[in-house]
Amino acid sequence: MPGVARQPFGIPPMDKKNAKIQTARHILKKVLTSILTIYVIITISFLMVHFMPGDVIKHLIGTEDYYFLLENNPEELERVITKYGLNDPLHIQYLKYLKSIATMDFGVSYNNNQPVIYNVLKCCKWTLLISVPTLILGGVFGAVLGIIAGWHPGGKFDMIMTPISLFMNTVPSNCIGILMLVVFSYKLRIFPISGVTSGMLTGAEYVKDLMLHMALPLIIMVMFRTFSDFMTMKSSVSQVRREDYTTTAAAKGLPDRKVLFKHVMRNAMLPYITSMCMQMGGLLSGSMIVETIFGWKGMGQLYYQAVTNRDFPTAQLCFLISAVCVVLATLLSDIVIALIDPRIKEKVNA
Amino acid sequence: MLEIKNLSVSFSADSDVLAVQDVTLTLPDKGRIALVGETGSGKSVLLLAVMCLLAKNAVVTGEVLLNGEDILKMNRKQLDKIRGALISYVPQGGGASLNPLMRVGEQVGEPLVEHQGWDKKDSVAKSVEVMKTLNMGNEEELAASYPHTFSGGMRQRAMIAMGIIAGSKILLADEPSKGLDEERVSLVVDSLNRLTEQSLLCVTHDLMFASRISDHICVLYSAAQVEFASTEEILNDPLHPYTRDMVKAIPENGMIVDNVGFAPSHDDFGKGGCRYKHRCKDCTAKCSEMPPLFDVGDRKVRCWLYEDKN
Repeated sequence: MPGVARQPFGIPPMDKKNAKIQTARHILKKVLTSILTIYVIITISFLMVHFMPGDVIKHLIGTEDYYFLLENNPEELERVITKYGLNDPLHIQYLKYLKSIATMDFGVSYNNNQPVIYNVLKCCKWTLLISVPTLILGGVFGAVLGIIAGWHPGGKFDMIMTPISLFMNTVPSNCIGILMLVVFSYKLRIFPISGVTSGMLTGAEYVKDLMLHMALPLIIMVMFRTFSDFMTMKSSVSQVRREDYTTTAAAKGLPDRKVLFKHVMRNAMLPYITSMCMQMGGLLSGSMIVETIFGWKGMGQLYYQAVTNRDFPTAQLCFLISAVCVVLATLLSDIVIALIDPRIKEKVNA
Repeated sequence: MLEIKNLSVSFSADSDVLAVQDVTLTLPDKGRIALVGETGSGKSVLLLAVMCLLAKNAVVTGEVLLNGEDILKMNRKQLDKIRGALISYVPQGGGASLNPLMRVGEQVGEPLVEHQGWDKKDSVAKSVEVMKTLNMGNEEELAASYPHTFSGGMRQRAMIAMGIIAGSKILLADEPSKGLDEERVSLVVDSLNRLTEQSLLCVTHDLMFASRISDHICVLYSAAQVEFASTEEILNDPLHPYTRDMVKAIPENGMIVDNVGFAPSHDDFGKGGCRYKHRCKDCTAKCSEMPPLFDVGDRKVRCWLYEDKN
């Protein structure tokens, strides 16, 4: 039918400038939402303390101390209450709370009378030392293995790796942790049993000692991360390779390698990148179980001890940090995906 | 020239399940054949088998000769050389037929980059040119857009452009009219009819669409080839009872549907004789045996009614 008029149809395609503005607008929207979320989290963490059953002062100084002071030294109790500003009306307390967060004043730990922020920063260092390599190594290993298994689902590699990773994903990390401690530290004496360093060491000796101490927790963390990332990547790749555009790519005469890297991987990376970004939210939280088993003085252990010791300011800051990290990680994944996937920003603005 | 000889496809999960049985077909240069049949008759599997794009569990027997060379015997490297360069597969332009993360121009130009070593920029420019020959409208903008902004018809025509861009002379199109309204179908027909240099093997379940794009029609019923004739003969003088029933059901012919039923399930294939006997009004005792493909003049019919005219 040669007489058909030229007519454009479908959604009118966007020009590049317009697309950039839409991306920027989408990202700005996400940033504002994140700021709002963080504000809500801060408010909730404030309200939670005040609406918990019982008196706040009881939570702060402990029930036993409270009754002890009430009976023996009411003036001292009154002094403590005034010190914490608990006589102020709620909105004044709230404003003071906001101000203290804005000025990074998170109070003093009940445990060692050091500023909380100081304790937390010290522990952050040790947690990052484990969590950053875990994120990177686990992410890379998981991706590579997942791609190989997902590209040939049901193949030999897949048949071996998938049961292993299912097993590893179901075994609790404390179980493997203790097992490895017994074998490598107690029986074979290759690695130290617990702690961060042996102390009194400098230079290369110090680094070597530190490496030996972090070896076991790091190996366990990387192992677990690898196997969970492996499952994510494998399912993503095996799903994408069944998509029509993979057939289209092969029908164009692209060799397997190019079909995989140009078409399958790009699409399979989308959920993987989201998962990676979300994992970044856990960078500062540390693994409570692994850190406790190996006596690694990181954030996980700090949080655990703060909760068991009723060290309220420390626990609150730990909670705040992990909440903010999760919000920021979500924001990061939103931004990264919006930059990679053209469908996202337009769907939002449609 | 593409010659398909005794092509059968089964899936090894159960080798009795035949998706395509014994299809013989010759697509001459600049020829246009439509493969017509209902859903599940094996049309799409046939195309994928010719391109060697079926999953690994498919067992393909027979020969597919492209200029005398058997495609089915080629290794992956040889296949990569001919796919998109000598013979192109045009998939259905459905939702996921184009990579959602790549601009359409880049995807349409990809066969040039792959087969002729073009750089990306030139290939995109060439894709605009090819899309212009298909009369798509706004070609520059289309090439710079992502597939999700395309309608089904636009995607379908972008796929056609992708098929011909590297100079491929044989086009295997899979249901290019599926899911499109009449207006969009006309645009696809228009685009296909602009391809005067290429030969076309087009799968469709729409007999009217087939009549607009083809010079010959091959009718498939439940995996078997039941009739092959020129488009005019099929529409005006169908021989096989199935084809006759199908032509009667065309709206212009009164839309007479008097033998409602479904094709038999594929797993009793080869045991039950002619596949259409359950619905056929001319069924005789002989139909419990599978008829061969009889030659009636230039035409081919798989029905015992034409045994004597062979």
